[in-house]
Amino acid sequence: MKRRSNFANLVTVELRALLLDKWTLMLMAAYTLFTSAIFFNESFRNSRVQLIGHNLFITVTNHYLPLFLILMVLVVISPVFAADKKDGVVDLVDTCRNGKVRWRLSKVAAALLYGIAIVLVGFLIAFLMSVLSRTPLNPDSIAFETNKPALMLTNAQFFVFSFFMIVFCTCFLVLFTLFISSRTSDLLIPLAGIAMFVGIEFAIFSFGRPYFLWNLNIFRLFVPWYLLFDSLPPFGPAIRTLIIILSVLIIFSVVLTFLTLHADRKLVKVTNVKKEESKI
Amino acid sequence: MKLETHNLTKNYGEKCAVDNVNLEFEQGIYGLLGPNGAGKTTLIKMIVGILPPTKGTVTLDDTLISKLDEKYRDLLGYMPQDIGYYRTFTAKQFLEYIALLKGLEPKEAEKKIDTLLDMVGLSDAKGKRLGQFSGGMIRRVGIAQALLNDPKILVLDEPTAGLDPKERIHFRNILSELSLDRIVILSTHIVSDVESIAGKVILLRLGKVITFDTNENLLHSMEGKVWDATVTHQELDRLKTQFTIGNAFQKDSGFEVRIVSDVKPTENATPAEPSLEDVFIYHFGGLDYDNI
Amino acid sequence: MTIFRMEFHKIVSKKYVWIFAIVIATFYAITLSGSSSSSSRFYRKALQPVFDEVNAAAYDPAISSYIVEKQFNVTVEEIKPLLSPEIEKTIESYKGQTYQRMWEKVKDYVVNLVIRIDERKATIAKLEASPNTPLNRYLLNKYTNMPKIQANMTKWDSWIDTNKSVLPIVIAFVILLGTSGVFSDEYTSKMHGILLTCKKGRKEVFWAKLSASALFSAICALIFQLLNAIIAALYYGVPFTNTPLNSLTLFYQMPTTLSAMELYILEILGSVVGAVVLSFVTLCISSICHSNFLSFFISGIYFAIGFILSNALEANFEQGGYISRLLTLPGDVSTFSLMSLVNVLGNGKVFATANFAIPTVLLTIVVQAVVFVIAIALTFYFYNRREVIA
Ligand SMILES: Nc1ncnc2c1ncn2[C@@H]1O[C@H](COP(=O)(O)OP(=O)(O)O)[C@@H](O)[C@H]1O
Ligand SMILES: [Mg+2]
Repeated sequence: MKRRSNFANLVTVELRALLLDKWTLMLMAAYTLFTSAIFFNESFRNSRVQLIGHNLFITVTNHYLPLFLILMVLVVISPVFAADKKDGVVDLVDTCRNGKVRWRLSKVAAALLYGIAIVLVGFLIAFLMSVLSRTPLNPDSIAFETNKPALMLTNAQFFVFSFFMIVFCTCFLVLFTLFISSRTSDLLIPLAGIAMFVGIEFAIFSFGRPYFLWNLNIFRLFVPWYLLFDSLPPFGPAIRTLIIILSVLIIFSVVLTFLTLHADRKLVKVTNVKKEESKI
Repeated sequence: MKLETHNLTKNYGEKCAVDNVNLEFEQGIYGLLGPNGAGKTTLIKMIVGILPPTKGTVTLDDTLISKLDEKYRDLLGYMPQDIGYYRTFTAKQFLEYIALLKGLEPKEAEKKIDTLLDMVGLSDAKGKRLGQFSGGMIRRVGIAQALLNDPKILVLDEPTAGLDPKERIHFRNILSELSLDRIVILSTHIVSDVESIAGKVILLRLGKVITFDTNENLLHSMEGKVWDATVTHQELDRLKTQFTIGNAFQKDSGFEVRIVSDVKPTENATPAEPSLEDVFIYHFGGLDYDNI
Repeated sequence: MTIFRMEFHKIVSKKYVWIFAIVIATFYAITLSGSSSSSSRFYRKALQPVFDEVNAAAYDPAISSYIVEKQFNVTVEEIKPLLSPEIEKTIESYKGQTYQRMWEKVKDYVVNLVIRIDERKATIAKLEASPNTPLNRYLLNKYTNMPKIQANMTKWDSWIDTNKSVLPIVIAFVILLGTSGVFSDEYTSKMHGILLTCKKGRKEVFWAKLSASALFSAICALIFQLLNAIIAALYYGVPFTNTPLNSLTLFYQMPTTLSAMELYILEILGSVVGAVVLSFVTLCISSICHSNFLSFFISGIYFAIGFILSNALEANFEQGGYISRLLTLPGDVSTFSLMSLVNVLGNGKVFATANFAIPTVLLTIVVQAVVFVIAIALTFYFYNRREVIA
């Protein structure tokens, strides 16, 4: 019982640090500003924004929110382990009672909660704006009806669907970042690594090549309305594609989590030496 | 050659780290003594010209050091408290690099580096990467690096921190050999570092200079104020509340303590030969640093 | 050993820079592959010998007036007798459907070219009739002095297009990786104090760092341009002849008198110069920040804003526009624009007020030159004046 509350405390402390990070606040503020400009400033909307699904709410959550989420993960999550290693805190923590795996687990848990929290806040802000600006979504009409989607979801269902897809994808990105972060003491490496990963994914997503990687793309989840449509073989119908993508990501996530939790001292040493050589 | 500070002041926000310091340095070794947080590092950074003062100036022979710029730095050897280094460089490469920055001729630098590495006892490790050095070895590299250009003004910020006793003594010997015709400023919170070699001692407290005098004068001023006594545990507790206590050793017969006091503290106290440590304790109060 | 060489060594000895560069280059090659279909490549190659005949036909008054009369709806059979027998000679070696398709293509090229020539005449006529504003004078001057449009049979489109967005991003990424730590690493490794107290540790080190970063970025830009050229040569083939920029679909009807090759060379030049400017901005940020992490992130945002302003946001609404508005101007003069040049220079963008009209690219150059100088000055200031915390 005691242990458990202890762990919860640990997670709370980590989570608070992440949520109150100045970059989280700044990027959230920027997102809010941007969203309100889209919802309330017609000239900005007409000149700068491409409407998706004939609805501003979908446009914001499916198109612009991911950008801010990625930035937040990049700058807030990438130092999680690397900074501690750089400051030499890891050695200290690993000798404490709650050190090693439990400490890492608390950080992973906090980071995942952080991922969920920012998506939630992002959706809430967009929802609020949409209510305030009196352009709410009609919850019962079919999403993307004119485009003849393979999956017929009502707007309300699609809203929930997008939320979970984006949460899922954000969490995957968080785990990937944590993994790189746990293997280095140079903060730049997780930052640049994830930036490059996202960049390459985005390039594949926008060029549509190679097709296989296009389907297994994180942006398929970040831009969930794409998932409503069928894919070409070997992926096939929308449902099957969805299942394939989700299972691949889940497998990756589990592996990444495991590797992050067991970035044990030996591995740490090895990467440290390597890094020392590459850093001046 | 005369290095002077005029009303040198540095504020960090509300906090005054160095407060209106006026000092004059000529040839010889100067010990800058003060507890942690007294402002030694801040003062030194302003003297070597890497920290802009809030107020006041530093001059060399009546010329502002910022005006002398390169000429001043040509005379300067500086070892920071927290010495930086490139992990991937070997000791030799690192010194070569610094030699380059100090504008030494490659040939001359080569010779100088070898002698210095020899002097600090790192000849065997000169091909090793600095990332694999121990803390003490790094500091010795730091000392060598400061001496590369044969500086006329040598400024060392806590150079002996992290050195073992043998290295410390060795280092002190190096310094006293060097002190001819140059200014050596040496900051430390360890009294024994400067005790035997510093010609003049500057005591710094809360950013203010409280004394600036020769070693002998300081010791002289302490005569009759230092006492040795053997006391019981209860007596020690009582003495602690009234006097400034230096070292206290537990012996079979009780505690052998050193007391710094203007008056005779107890009946059985005997006058003792003052040391620089007593001066330090006299000004900064025993082991209790809380209100310094 | 010189200070410059040491500083350069510090940048290039970071292993992760090279690892990232290799990964990103690989993916660059992969995503670019398969972007041109093999059949279109085949026809382009096969029709290459009749390039001159096609051009001649479109400029033949008899043929063009015939096509215009028919409202540009002509069939192969109608036009075949009018064209040079050379074309038939080249094509007749192909059989069946290929032969048919080939003729269709030739017809399309000719008709297309006639349309363009016609449209340009119309544009000029319209400009002559419209009020005498600086902008109209500028455009009229450009349109009348343009070289003759040719059939769009070269592969310059694809070559030039690679510089539009992805390549500058890739180059920028590697530059940021290499240079974001140049100053901040000295702060983190606590060498700052030692450097500043060395005789040559201020000015000389500063200039050495600057020139080493400039060299690094220039080399990066050139390497990636070379890689891009190799990939383009493999996928699209090397263009067989130079052609005026207006012949390309991308820059059709844009007020520019450049030729495709000129633009391509200028792109490479812009890429190198832009890379140097970007690296100096990064250095400036690096000299302010206490960690390479922050400086990488902030300079990344600096570059991304330029990119978004000049590309992503604009793409939906003003694709192909050649007028710089106040709205697009920030993007047009950004460092990204200098590195890409496709948008500002290729489109021949022009900025006009009531009193004057100037090519936007001049503004880009001026603004970037100012950025360059300010970056150097600020970097020098911050490197020398930053409080040494060690
Ligand atoms: N960069 C800084 N910002 C704020 N306060 C500082 C800074 N550097 C030093 N100080 C404060 O100035 C005082 C003197 O510090 P320092 O010169 O490092 O002392 P010393 O070297 O004698 O131990 C300390 O109280 C310290 O907290
Ligand atoms: Mg200090």
